[in-house]
Amino acid sequence: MDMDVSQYKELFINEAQEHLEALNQSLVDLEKDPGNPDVLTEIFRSAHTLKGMSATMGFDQLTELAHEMENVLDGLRSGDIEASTEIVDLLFGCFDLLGAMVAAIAEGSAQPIDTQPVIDALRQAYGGGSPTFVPRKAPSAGVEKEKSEREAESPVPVPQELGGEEELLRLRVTLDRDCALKSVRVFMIFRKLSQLGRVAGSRPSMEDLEDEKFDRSFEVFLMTATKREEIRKELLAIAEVSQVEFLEEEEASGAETEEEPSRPEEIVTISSSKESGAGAAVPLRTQSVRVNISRLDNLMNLIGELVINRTRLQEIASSYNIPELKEALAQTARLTADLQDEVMKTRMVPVEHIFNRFPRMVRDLAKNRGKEVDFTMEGRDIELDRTILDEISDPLMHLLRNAVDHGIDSPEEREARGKPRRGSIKLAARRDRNYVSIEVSDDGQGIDVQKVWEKAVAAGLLSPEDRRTLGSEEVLRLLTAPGFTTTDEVSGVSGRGVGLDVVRSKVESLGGMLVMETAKGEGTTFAMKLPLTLAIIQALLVRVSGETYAIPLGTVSETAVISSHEIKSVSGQEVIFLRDETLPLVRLARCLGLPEDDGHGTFPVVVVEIAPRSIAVAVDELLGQQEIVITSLDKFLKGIRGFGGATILGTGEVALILDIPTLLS
Amino acid sequence: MGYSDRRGTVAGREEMIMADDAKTAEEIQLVVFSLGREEFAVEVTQVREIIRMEEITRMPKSPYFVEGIINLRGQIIAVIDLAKRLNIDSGERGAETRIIVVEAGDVKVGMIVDSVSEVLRIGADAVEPSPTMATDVSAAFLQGVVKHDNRLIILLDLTKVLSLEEMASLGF
Repeated sequence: MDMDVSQYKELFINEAQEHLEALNQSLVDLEKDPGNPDVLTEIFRSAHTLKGMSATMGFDQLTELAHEMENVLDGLRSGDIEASTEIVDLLFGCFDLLGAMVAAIAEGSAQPIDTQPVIDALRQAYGGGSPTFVPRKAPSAGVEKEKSEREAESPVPVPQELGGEEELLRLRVTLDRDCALKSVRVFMIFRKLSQLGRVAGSRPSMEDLEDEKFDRSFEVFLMTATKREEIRKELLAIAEVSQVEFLEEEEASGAETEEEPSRPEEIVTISSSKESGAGAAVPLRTQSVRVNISRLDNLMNLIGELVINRTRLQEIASSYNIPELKEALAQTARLTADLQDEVMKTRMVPVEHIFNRFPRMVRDLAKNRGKEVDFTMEGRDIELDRTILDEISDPLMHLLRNAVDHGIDSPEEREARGKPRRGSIKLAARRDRNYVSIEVSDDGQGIDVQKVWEKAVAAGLLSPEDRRTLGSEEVLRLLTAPGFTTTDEVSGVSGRGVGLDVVRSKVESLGGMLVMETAKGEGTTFAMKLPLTLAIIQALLVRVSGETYAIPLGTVSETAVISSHEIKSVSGQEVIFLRDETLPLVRLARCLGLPEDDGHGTFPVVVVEIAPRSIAVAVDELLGQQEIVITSLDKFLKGIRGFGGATILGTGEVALILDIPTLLS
Repeated sequence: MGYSDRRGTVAGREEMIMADDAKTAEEIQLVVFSLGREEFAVEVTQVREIIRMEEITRMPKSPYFVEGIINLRGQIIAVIDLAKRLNIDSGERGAETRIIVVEAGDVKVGMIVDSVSEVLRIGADAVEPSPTMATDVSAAFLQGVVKHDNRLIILLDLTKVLSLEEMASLGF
């Protein structure tokens, strides 16, 4: 019956972190709406599961803390304790400590964590009189009827209710339909059962159960003195156990002689399911498998190579003009495109994965700064490539911190300005063609463009004459210039620029852009425009001085052919007129330091959007649009700005991917 | 700089190989190549492969010694003109010209050399720490010199040759 716990450690850590995230989220909700029974039930359930899991894994310290926390939650649920700010803070502190302990388990760190202060505070909160946690090693003495709810404290392996007579029970345990890791549940169930009694056997065999060779249910023979109801409660407390049934003696012996495998679908439900027992319904989880991200990366790379090879074959087919091959390749093209799509989708993760921790963060920060903030989130189900999502987590946190710190004005200032005392910060994700836009907006004091301007002039970044030619967006862009800060001297926008350069470069390195809007006294919005996926993009291939370059199509708004006499000069800057619009002209060859054509006759331009304006980029030749696989440049070349990576063309030739915004900055 | 001093700077994988070597009387293997008028070597454990010269895509805005980038079986790596890097003259590019792909620290780079001559197995003590002899190459890039059959082979310190700080000091 012995199973190695360590193999479940990773699963435990993942789940524990998910529960902690859910707890944080729910507690923020509870604070807004104290006494909401649904939220309380949710919190209680997560806490309880967390405790059960910890106990199963043998993490006693974690279990103890979770247990004490549960007592407070119980008090909240019964109404004995009020959800005051102190209690909420205490619970948040408790979540943090639990998080730190889970992290320590993940790292395998032996560093002891002192939980005593928090435990004392928790005990004080619920009056301390309630039963305290008893580690499993020491058999509990005074545990009364709460026992049924707190499986962790039941001494092991002595069965409870010692007075009762042992009997052989036959149980059928049914797991949730979408239970992902059945073997783990089996393990947890058996561990629990062995605390309640002696497991005499199972059907299918233990081995088969471990190998997940069963449908949804299995039978266990248990010698125990524990009451049936007790056993049922204990088992249903384990996550993803949907049913526990006791099979009658005759039925059991009958089945035994027949040697028939169990047919769970024919069994009529005897017990109530865990969901209905716990009150509010748990939303149905979608069936899923956890996959290591590196596997997906490998898959992605392989498909990338497949796409390259397909392109190569297509080139062969057209140069030898073989119709049959072309036809077969058209089919292959469709298939690889589908395959690519599917793999791409597997990498997509809803933004809520990172959004979920922000309410807590904003709340803490606002409290700390003495500000009153309503934080709302939109579009949590919008999906982004996993890698991008991981990368923007820190920049987003930074923007939110900025919004609380510098965006939102103090309640007093707000009242003086005739605004509601509570400021509001909104985090919204939305899909916009091939981009996902993630916006952080506040209704705070806004940025004073004039002051930024003055500061820039004072710092020698701009000359007074620039004011005529630069729009306010461009002045605002200065905030994201490395090292530019408006700290101290300009109180109204203090520190607004700190770290924004980091945010911008991160977003740009992902092929996105950072756009900002502000109105003095009314608020500020920062928007990150991010590509949906990373690895494969549509690009426009161009030729300059004999070299091929790829320009991501996402930034291209159009192409045009210009003749050299259409170029005008406005204060030293070459411009062209395209449909009533004046566009600055940039010669790519010059920009890259390559030998230039003498600019005779006509040449194509690519109009690239660089927020807030468009720029015409002159090239020698347009080669056409193509799907390219982005290969990142080796660390050796990473420091060279202006390139978003490179790609291998169908010919085997390497083409650099131009990152026009950084190239021109 | 003695052999044992260097161990701390090499990759873990290499350390294991070195440890094996250490048992067999402190031997090291060098890939010897010529560049200009001199003979150079890098430790074989740092060499990933040696390929023929191929078409190299220009890398604009890169340091002067970066020749460009190539596709090494799906991986894109930088190729440097080693002679330019060491600030010495190189021979003509021709049939003997090779790109030695090396890995040092966490960078993988191809180095163009005039020709690759051999893989040499020598005792680690044959590496003389501080080169006092005259060479055109800046001492900063040298790990030591090897005297072998009346030849003088300059052992390069790849971490220095491929150092990013060096690049940073050049403004990149």
